[in-house]
Amino acid sequence: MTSNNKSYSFREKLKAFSQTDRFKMIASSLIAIFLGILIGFIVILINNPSVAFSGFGRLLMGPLNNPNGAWIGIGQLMYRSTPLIFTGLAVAVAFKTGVFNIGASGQYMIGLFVASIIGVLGDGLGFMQWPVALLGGALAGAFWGAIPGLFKAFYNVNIVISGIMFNYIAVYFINGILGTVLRRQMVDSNNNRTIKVDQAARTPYAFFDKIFPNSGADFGFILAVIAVIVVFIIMNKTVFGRELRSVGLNKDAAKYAGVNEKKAIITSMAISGSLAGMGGALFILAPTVFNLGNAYALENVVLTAGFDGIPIALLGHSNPIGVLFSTLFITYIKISNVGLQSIGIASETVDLIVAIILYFSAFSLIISQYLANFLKNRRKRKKELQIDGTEVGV
Amino acid sequence: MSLEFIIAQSLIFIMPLLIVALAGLYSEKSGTVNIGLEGMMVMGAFAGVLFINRMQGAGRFANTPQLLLIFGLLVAAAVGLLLSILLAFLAIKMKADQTIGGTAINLLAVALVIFLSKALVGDTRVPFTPVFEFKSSFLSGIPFLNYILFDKAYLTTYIVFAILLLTVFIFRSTKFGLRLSACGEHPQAAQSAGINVIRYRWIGVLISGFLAGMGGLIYVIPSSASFDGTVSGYGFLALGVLIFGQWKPVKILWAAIFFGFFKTLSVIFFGISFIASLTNMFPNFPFAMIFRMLPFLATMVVLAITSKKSRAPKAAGIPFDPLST
Repeated sequence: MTSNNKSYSFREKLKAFSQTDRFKMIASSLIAIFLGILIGFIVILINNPSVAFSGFGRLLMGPLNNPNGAWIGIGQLMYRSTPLIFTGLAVAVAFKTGVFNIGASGQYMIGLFVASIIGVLGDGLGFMQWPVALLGGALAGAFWGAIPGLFKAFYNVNIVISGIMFNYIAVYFINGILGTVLRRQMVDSNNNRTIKVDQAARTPYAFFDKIFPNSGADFGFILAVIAVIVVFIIMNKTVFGRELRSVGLNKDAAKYAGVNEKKAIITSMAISGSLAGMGGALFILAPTVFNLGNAYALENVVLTAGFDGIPIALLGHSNPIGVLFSTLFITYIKISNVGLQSIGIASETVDLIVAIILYFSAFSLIISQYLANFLKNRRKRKKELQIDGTEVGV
Repeated sequence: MSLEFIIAQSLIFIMPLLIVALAGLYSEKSGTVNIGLEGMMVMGAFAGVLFINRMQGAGRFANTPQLLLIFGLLVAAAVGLLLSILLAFLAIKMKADQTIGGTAINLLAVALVIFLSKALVGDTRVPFTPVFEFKSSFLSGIPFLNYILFDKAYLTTYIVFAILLLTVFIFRSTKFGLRLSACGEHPQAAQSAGINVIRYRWIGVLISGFLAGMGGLIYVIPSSASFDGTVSGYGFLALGVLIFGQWKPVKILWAAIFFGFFKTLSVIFFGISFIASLTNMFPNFPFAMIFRMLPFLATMVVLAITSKKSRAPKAAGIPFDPLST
């Protein structure tokens, strides 16, 4: 009787959970992922029938398929996820305030730029060099993100257009400064890339090089996870975060509740920018596999890391925890690129799958709503049948 | 550096921005925000260039390059339209988030283009022979105009202008244009006046895809001899021009000219002797940086002055449910 009771309560809990928004969101993302991978498999089957199954296996195995062992693959997964978790969070925070931060790429680049200046020229900082560089990147990103917020608040300039404009301004500003004033100190003229940051400016491996040797994984990943938790707490557990979200949910209601919309947009954009800036900083400060550090190439193109944050945030329903998982998932399948290419499958297949997943995720929330209703109705019917049965019995 | 050279150069920047901003206009006027313009441009450019590549390879249209260009534009437009069906289905039929839909289209287009390019051409770069410049001396009596309108001109410039005039006419004086605007401005009112809002919104997005696909090829033709899977963010810039132009066709033209002129300046500034001597005097001063940032900074300044009252279609971005009213 007791055990029966227990399982009953568990089932009740499951039922209750299936009615929550969180369930709908998770279910919808999983449906989208399933459909995307299914279509991806069909594409491979049509295009490369002979290697379709082994290719599909490689796709699902992702980093676990690493020739040097699954652990190294997992380390690589963490290394490559770090900047994207930050840009995903950046886009998500802005989304929650009702703002589409398409300028995350510019904020990312400015963060990368300032962090690399401190990383190369801040020799006197000693062991504080990398934390200061990271902080510098965060502040620069916050500044760059706040500008479109200010333009919106004071001049009513559409935040999407100023985001796009400041992406380009960032590129030309960075390349202009690096190409002239700081050229001698910062740029390797052989390959037109920035000089790698000082040893002390690189984020420590912590214990990662012991567990995941030669994978590039470093302390940055821990910082990314901490950022996820901090953003989650700010957005969901503080009055400040609730105010920001209330602006995103219903501007007018927020106004009546006494929330200053302009201030909310500016702060949200500054927070978003600081996250993107930290992403850029951690990219350039990462020790990477061969202990050489990353470099920035002086080309007049907007880096895509910020744009990559958009599908990540969307697939994670702009929830910080969701962002963590969606980044890990997208990076997970993207790593299989190399493995697919080596057996003759175009590496763009993976990008195609990510795009299809995002497309389906746009309306899979509607599908999962149907699913939830379907489950509810079925239960109801069952109950009605039972009641009918007893009535007949009487 | 002659004035006619600067004008001819500017047209190369202005035309794709103008037609793609107009593409965005049709969609947003009908109530659907189209972030996917970039993707539609990429797909259109790819299809158009591939068509031209194949035709040139087979030796067709060798003597009639302008006819080949027209067919190429139609192919590009058709593919852009096909892609826009995906957005319309998502945004109108499924009432899903339009930002997600547009972003998905952009991702999809870029991946699909490289994927198809590798499968069909065996390379990520699709080349074509650039034979589309008029190089005509029709007005050789007036060298200035001849240079801009005939010698260094492309058919695409005239097509874009025709589309602009048509768009002005449609939104000013046709029932269709007014109804389309009504669907993006106040769909409930439009519906109660007997307008099929859903149908108009579909048409708006499809026209948008058609023009954006064409715009992709219009971007590639005068600026390159191959398509490398990118239109360099022109879809996003066009979105900027659309907002800058306050969702009005003629203002969009001015916005495109304004932006295109500064963009041209950023490319040719070192050819202006006055600036060239300045750069020689101050070799460490980032002149290039200032000129390259100028189009974007100038746009921000103008936007700050003119945006106080936004003319965005009021219901753009909000899915419409015909049964909810």
